[in-house]
Amino acid sequence: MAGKLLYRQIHPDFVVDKKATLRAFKPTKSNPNVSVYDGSMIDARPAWEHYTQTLRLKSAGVMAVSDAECESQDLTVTSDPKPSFREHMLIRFDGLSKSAIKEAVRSLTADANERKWCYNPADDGLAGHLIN
Amino acid sequence: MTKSAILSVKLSGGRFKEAELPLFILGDLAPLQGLIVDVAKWLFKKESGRRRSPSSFDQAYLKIIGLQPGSTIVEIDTDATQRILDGVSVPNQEHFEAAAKRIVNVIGSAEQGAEHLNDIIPPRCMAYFNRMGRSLMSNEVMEITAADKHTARLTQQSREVLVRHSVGEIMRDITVRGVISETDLKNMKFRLEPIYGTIVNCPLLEQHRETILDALYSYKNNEDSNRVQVRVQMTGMYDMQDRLQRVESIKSVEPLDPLDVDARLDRFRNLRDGWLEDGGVAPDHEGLDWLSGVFRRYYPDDLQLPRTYPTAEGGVSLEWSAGKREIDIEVNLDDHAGEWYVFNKDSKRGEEEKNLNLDSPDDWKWVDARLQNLMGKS
Repeated sequence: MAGKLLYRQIHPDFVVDKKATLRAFKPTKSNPNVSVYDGSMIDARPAWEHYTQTLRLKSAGVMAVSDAECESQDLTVTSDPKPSFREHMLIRFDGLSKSAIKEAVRSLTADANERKWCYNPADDGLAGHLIN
Repeated sequence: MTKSAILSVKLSGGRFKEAELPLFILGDLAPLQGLIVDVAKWLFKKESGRRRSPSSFDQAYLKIIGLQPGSTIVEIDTDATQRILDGVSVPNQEHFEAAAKRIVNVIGSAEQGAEHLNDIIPPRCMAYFNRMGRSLMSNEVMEITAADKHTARLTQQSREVLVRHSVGEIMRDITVRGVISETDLKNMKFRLEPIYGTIVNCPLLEQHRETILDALYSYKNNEDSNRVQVRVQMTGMYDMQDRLQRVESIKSVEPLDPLDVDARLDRFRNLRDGWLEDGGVAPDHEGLDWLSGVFRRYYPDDLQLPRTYPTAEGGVSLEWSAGKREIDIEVNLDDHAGEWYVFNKDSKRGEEEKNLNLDSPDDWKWVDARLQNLMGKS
């Protein structure tokens, strides 16, 4: 399915056998939306560098879903720029029923895992951000 | 108990079955020999006022004289390499019988939380409990009865009380999962970095050398997935603060399956609240212990292992791939509930949902059967 790529940072504990868990694409109680990088504004590697070095957050690497894949699950994608993070976007789950959220989360996870890693720091010989 | 037995030991709970004697328990019973002889000698010296006990004490030994049905009951009596003149009596038999009563008494007192155990048997003799009953699990009991019918229960708890009255260190059989980061072949030692816990130096035995070196060579990999994790069964000495002080011996070293569930659960023990960008609740350690226990008990060895992940809410997600289907169970560690979900990647729709009680063997049987079925038709 074509469309703009949306890069998602994957927490190191959310990777086993090189596959991401559906938890990586599931909104949490404290945040009903999922944060992503706008793939038309930044590539996967600089997105990972921004996340781990500027924001100082943990990421095992970068996976992606497309905006078309989100729309096919009735999810809207909106731009949400921050002062030092203008590529920031949100995949919005608000308004979906509980069962629709369950399907959408699993659909995005399947799409991302099918696409495989857009950036894996281990490919660059970078230790400390290990992929399980 | 037959008339001649000075002690009987009833084994119940957990791994003990009707009228069977698992071999591992012999190592737990063997320290009774030294314990009874030492306490008998102490009683002799106390009563006689003599500084030395006769050498005949050291010729005595304990023997199993029978197994009785009704759980497993082991009957134990004394014998000697050299009997006294009539050829029937074991020298100092009365002291051995008195020692057996003292041992039952001290175990019973420990069980009831009494403080002055050292009046019953000498503190140095308490050290025998470091080995006696060491392999008992939390649901297992050694019920020891003396000839006078008094009974006491040796459990993990009463054993710890007894050992702490002696040397202040307690010996435990433990299993540690981790990676091997260093070996010292000259001194035959290796360094184990547990997934959860502090680094320990362990004795390297010849029979484990190949596994240890394979694991060590994989350590240099940048990716965790290429590092061989091992499961090490060992006997460790813990101090009064429950910290592992040293490793006494190594029983086995086994490479782990990359999806090993216990190894993943160990990893989650390192998580703290706020571990995720949007928060993230750290999983409760008792909950992780529970999941480890039920998974080992109910999940078949021959079934594909799940990928195991933490959830933002402090739970655990178990996930399987079966062709066009993705299967997951969200496990709630607080109420032991599970949410089963099957997603079809072709239709992009959910196919099955079910609430599970993961304390129920029947629900685990259902999970096992569904997984077998889904993997078979994938």
